[in-house]
Amino acid sequence: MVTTIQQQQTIPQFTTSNGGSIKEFLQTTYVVFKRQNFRLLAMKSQVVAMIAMPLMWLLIMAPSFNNLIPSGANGIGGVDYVSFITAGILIQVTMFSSLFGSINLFFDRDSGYLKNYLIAPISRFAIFFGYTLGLFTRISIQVAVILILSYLMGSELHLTPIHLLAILAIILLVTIFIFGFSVTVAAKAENVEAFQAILMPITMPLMFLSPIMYPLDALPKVLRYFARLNPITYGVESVRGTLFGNSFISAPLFDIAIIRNNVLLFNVLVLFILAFGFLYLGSKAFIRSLNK
Amino acid sequence: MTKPQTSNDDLIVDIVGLKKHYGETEAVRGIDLKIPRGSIFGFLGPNGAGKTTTIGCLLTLLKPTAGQGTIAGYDMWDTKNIRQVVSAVFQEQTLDETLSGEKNLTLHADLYRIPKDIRDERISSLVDMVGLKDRLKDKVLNYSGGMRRRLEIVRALLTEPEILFLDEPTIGLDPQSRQNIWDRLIELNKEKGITIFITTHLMEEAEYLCEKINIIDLGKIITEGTADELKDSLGKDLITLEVKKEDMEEANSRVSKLEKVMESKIVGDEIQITTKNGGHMISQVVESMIGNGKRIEITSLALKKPTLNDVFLFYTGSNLRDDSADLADRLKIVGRKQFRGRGMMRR
Repeated sequence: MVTTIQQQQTIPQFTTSNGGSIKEFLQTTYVVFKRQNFRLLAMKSQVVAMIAMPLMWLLIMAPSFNNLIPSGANGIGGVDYVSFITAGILIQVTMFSSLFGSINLFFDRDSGYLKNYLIAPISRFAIFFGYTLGLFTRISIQVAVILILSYLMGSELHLTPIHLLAILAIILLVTIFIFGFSVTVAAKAENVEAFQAILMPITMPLMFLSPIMYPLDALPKVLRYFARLNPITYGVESVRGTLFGNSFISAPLFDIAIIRNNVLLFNVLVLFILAFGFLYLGSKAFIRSLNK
Repeated sequence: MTKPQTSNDDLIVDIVGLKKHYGETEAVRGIDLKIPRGSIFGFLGPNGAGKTTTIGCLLTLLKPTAGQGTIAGYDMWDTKNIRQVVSAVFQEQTLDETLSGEKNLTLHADLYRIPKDIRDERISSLVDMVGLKDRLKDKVLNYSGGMRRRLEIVRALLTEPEILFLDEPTIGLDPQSRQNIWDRLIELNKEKGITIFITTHLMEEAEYLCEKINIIDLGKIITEGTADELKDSLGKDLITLEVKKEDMEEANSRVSKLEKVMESKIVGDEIQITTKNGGHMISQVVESMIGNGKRIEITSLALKKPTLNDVFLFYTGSNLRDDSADLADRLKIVGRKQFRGRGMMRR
């Protein structure tokens, strides 16, 4: 009655994401984003915990190290330690929130809530992107808290609105990249416990083989190479480069004139590529995991 | 029973050869569905029969392995258009508990880009109907099971679907909530003409709600019809007759001589008479006790029609679902014309 050829022609249409126009895409993203924000407001304990973590870094870690390092112009590369580490903490917090951000998504999948999205005539990629932006709101709140506290602690950040926007843009790129990475990994994990277990050994090197707490020069030479391979390095140095200038960006892996002269641009470009790459991989992994 | 496949406007679901395989597992093994527009359609089957998978395919949530036909007039592979006109209440709860009932509703309507004024109008009339108006601002966390289900039904209706899928909607609810939801569903079907597709393994539910029932097991549709047709398909009613002990033998022999009695036997202190069309038979039983010589006094006389439960057990077997029952055996039993009393009329 029905030829197989016809079927094969029609089947690929099935998973088209029903995106429609860009307007529809943005509307969907906005609704998903909005729900994430409503949830955040509804869960006060989460907000407290979310803010507490960076606070502890700034209040405990930063002052202790500050005592070891000369202040002012004699500090690291000419800035005091609190200013130095503020940039690091911004990315460190972004990293942690984004890595664990996919738990949210997979919780919604496993609890069934996601089905409401999936039976609606909306783009699945837009759903994914909505979760990403929802995560970015949370991270932005953390960023605001860190910056305000850092300022109160006497850091010498000269934040103009342009600086602030530039930093938020960098953080958005890091968020998209790490969240995409996290979803790609989570889609492979059996459950949340397994996923958390996988993250533990990943976070260690990401954090300590990066200039979050100290300049890369402090690392042994061999480790410095590994640090240059760590994508977090590009995030941290982009923020520092934006705030304090290019001298805070360590030597790139390939010492080519065009890179050397535009280190900040190069770092941001790396982040761009990572963000787009993992936005693609993460959304693919997410959509694939739905058909299980 | 089998109509030629046309794009019949009276059929809201008109599908042949639906299959869904998960690797080696064949969850749905080629089923045909013809659901009249505006009906309440029941999909009965034991756990793991393939009900939820079938719903998933019809909702475009799962990609079928094979199948042809239309859903609400659209090709079954045309996911975008189908998604506009279907809604569902899933087996598991799919509300956001941290949010209020109202937020759950508005967010859902926004996904379908329903304008705000229309959205609010629909919400207020629907929550009125299901009696949730006063609790709308509360977090879903504080709702009872029945309220959650009603909220989910409201949410599913916000988009004014042509067909509403309900996957075991009243599971785990108390009889009051269950009855309440059933009545709401019938109201919706009558007033708005929404086609309702319901899966269940509660016979009561199927009987109360559904005009047409399909029984599915092991990924195949085993039989279909109205509740009455299904019961009649077993072809047997049971009459139980009680008489005084000393009359027992005599009564039994009289009854067994009656035409159309398929079987009669003494079980404990009653006589069980199996027959087609028990309603007609009962008067003949009475006559045979009065006439034919000695008058036998009837202590009690009852007619038991087979219940849907009997039908269900007959067609799906009485094995537990975890048993790896041999499909071929099972289908053979189902295929037999003659009913041998498996599972039926247990008391």
